[in-house]
Amino acid sequence: MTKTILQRMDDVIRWTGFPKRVEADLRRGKGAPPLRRSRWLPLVLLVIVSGLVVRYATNPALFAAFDPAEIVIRTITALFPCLVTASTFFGPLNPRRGSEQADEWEEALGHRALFFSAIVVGGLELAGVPVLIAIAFIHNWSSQTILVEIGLWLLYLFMLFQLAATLHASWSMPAATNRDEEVGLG
Amino acid sequence: MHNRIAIFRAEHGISRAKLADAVGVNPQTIGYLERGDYTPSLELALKIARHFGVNVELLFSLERFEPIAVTLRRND
Repeated sequence: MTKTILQRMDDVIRWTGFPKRVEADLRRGKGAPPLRRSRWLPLVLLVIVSGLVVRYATNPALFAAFDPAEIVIRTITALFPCLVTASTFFGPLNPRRGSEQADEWEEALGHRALFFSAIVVGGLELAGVPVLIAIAFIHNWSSQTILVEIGLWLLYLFMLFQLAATLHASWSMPAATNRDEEVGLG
Repeated sequence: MHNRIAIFRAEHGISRAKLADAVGVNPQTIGYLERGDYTPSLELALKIARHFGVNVELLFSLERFEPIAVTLRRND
């Protein structure tokens, strides 16, 4: 008996292993390990990334420099989006933690953090674009430089969105209390 | 919002993990509730009250609960 296209698509989904993982998560239900705060790593990353953006925005010639040291710095800079995304795995908004494991408190924490992050990124976008245009006019940037700078700016906003959300969730999160000693029920 | 979850939990001799499992949240959330770091949804408050078999007003209050000793003395 030949399978329909939909059945074949189901087979492909099953082949990925995700349905089994979701079933296991649903069986396990709540009782997931406590969320971890990540207060300092995103802050350090934010400072470094912001510094790099300012460095390239004030001196676009660095993009085309053939100096070996500059090439190394550019390579490291290119790795930062990956590092920032990886850092979210160590924070309270860990993407590996499925929504099946999240309870109402975790959902509220995530919503607040993402809302905060959206405001920060939106505000910076509103303020940053006119500044970028002004700098481009003052320094008479070529269209290629403008494109590179806009790309860098978008990449920065992408990283900022993740970092701001993790920072907000981590700093607004009270210390974990997973012990019962207080009432003698350990 | 004030609550007496810790007292009721101690009286029933159940851990945070067991209460969390019974009402469908993570144990960490019960900890935050007990410390007053989090105000629960109406649904969660009702589930916790139902688990202990009491009215929600006995567990949660907008005003600070009076000490149990005072309540007992008044009832004597």
